[in-house]
Amino acid sequence: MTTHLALASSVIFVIVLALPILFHLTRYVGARSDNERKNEPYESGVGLTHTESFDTFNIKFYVVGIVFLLFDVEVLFLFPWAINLRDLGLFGMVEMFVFIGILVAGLIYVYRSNILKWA
Amino acid sequence: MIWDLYLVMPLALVFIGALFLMLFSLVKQVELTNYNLVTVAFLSVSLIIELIIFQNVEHDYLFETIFAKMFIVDKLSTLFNILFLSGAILTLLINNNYFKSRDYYNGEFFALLLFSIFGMMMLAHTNELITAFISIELASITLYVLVGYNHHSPKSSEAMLKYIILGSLAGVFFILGVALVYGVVGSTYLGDIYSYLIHHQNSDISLLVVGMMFMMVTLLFKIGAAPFHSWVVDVYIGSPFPVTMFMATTLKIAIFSILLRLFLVDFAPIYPLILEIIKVVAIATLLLGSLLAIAQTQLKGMLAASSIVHVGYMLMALYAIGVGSSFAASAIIFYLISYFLSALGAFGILSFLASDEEKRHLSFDDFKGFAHERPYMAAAMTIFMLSLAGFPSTIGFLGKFYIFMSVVETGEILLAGLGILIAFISIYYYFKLIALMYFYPSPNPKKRFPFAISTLLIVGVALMIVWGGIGTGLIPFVAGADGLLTIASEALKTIGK
Repeated sequence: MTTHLALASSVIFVIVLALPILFHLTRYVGARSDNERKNEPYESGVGLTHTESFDTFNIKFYVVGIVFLLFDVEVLFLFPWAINLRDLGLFGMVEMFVFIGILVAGLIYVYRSNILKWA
Repeated sequence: MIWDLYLVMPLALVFIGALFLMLFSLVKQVELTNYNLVTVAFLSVSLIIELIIFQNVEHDYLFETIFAKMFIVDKLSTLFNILFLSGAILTLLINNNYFKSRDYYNGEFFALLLFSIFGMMMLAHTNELITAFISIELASITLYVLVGYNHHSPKSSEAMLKYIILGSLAGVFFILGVALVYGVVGSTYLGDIYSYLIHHQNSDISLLVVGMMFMMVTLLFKIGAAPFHSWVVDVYIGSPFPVTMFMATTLKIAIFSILLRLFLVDFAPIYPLILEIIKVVAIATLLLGSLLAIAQTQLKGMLAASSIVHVGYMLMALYAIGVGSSFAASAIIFYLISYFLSALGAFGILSFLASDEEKRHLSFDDFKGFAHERPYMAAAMTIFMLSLAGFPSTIGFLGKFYIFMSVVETGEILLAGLGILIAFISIYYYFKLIALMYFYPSPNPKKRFPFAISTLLIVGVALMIVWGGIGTGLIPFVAGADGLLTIASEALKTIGK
C-alpha cells in the first residue's frame, strides 16, 4: 500500500522539484563549450545557407515545410490501409475516403490562401 | 449498426462545421458576425441532436465494428457534450460585441474554436487511452493558437509561448503514462485495464500506479491544479477574452470528463492507492490559488486565479470519490455547471466592457462607481460574484454545498472545514469588486442599458444562476438544481460496469 503511494508521489516529486533543479544545475555543473560550430543551426550537414539569424528569408519556406510534413505523414497511413484493404471491406474504403476528403479540404485551404504561390 | 451512426452525428456536424468555416474563411468579403452566426448554427443543431440522444441513450454503445471500441456513447459523455456545446454557444454569442471591436478576428478563429470543441467532445467519448491523448492534444493545440490570436500584442504572444512550451511538456507525461500502462496490461482500452485490475489483484501493479500518476500529472496541469498552476494567471491574462472564457469553462469541463471516466470506473480499484496525493494537491490548490487571487490587481487575473481555487474544490470532491462518497461525482458535475455559468457571466461582462476602446485592461479601479454608471450590469456582476463566492440563493452556493456534503459524508471534517475557510477568504476578493462598484461615486454619467445579444444573454445567465439557487422551491415541475443533480447521477449510473 504505502510503497505504491511512495512511488506515485515520487512521480510528482521528480516532475515538480527534481527536474527544474536539474535544469538549473546544468548551468553551473558540467563542462560548457562555446564555439562557432556549436552555435550554428543544424542543416543536415550542409553548410549554412544564412550566415546570421537576423537574415531575412521568405516565411513561405517554413509554411511549405509544415504542409509537406502533413501530407507526407498522410501517405504513412495509406500503406497499411492498402495492404489490409480486403479485410477492412467497404467500411475501410469509406473511412479512408473520409480521411482523404478531410485532407483535401486542407489542401484546398492551403491552395486558396496562396501559400503555394511563389511570386 | 448503420443507424447507430446517428449517435456520432453531433461530432460529425461540429467537424464538418469546422472544415466548412475553414474553407469559408477564404471568402474575404464576409462579415465577422456572419461567421459567428454560422458557427452558432452548427453548434445549435449539434446541441439539439445531442439533447435528443440524451433522452434516448439507455445503455452504452461501443461501435465494435466501426471504431473498434475506441469510441463510447453513454449518458455521461452526452451530458458533457451538451455542456461543451452550450458553453461554446454562450461564449460566442456573449462575445459578439467583442469580436466586432477588434480587427484581428477572422473566419479561421471560429474554425479553430470548432476544432477545439471537436477534440473535447472526442475526449468525453473516448474509451481508449491513445484516443484520449489525441483528443487532449487536439483541444490543446487549437487553444495554443487561439491564445496567441492577437499576434500584434506582445503579451498575447508571450502567453502563447508559455502555454505551448509548458502544455506540450505536460502532454508528454500522458503518453509516457499510457506506455507504462500498456507495458503492464498489454492494451490501452479502458475496459481491459479494469478487467486486468480485477483479475490480477495479487500481482505487482507498481508500474500501473506510476503510469496512472503520470497521466494524472497531465490532467492536473490542464485543469491548473497546484503545483502545476503557474501558467494559469499569465495565460489567462494574455489571451483574448473569448479564449479566456472558453478555457476557464469548457476546457476544464472536458478534462474533468476524462478524469471522472478514468477514476470512477477504470482505475477505480487502484485509485485509493494515490488518494493522499489528491488530497495534498487539493489543499495546495486551494491555498496557493487563494494567495494568487488576493494578490491580483487586474480583474481578469483575479478571475483566473479564482478558477484555480474552484478547481481545488472539485479536487476535494475527487478525493471524496476515492474514499467512497456516493454522490461526490454528481457533486463535481453540478459544481462544473455552476462554475461554468458564473465564470461565463463574469468574463462576459468584462469582455463587453473591453469592447469599448478606452478600457483595455480593466483593473479593479476601473469599476469604481460602476453601479451608478450601469446599474443593471452591476447587478448582474454582483450576482456572478456572489455565485462564485458561494453565497446562498445562488447556484454557486448549492455547488459548494454538495461538494462539502460529499466530503463530510466520507468523514473528512477537517478537509471540508478547510474548504469552508477558503470560501470565506474568497469573499475578500469577490466582495472587493462589489464594494468598489457600489460604494464609490461614478466619474461618468448614467448610461442606458444597451440592448444587444451579448447583454441580454448576460442578464439571462444571471437569472439562471438565481433560478438554479432558489427556483426549485418556487416552480415545482421545472428542473432546477435538484433536477441537474438527478440528471448528473443518472448519467453517472450508465458508466458503472
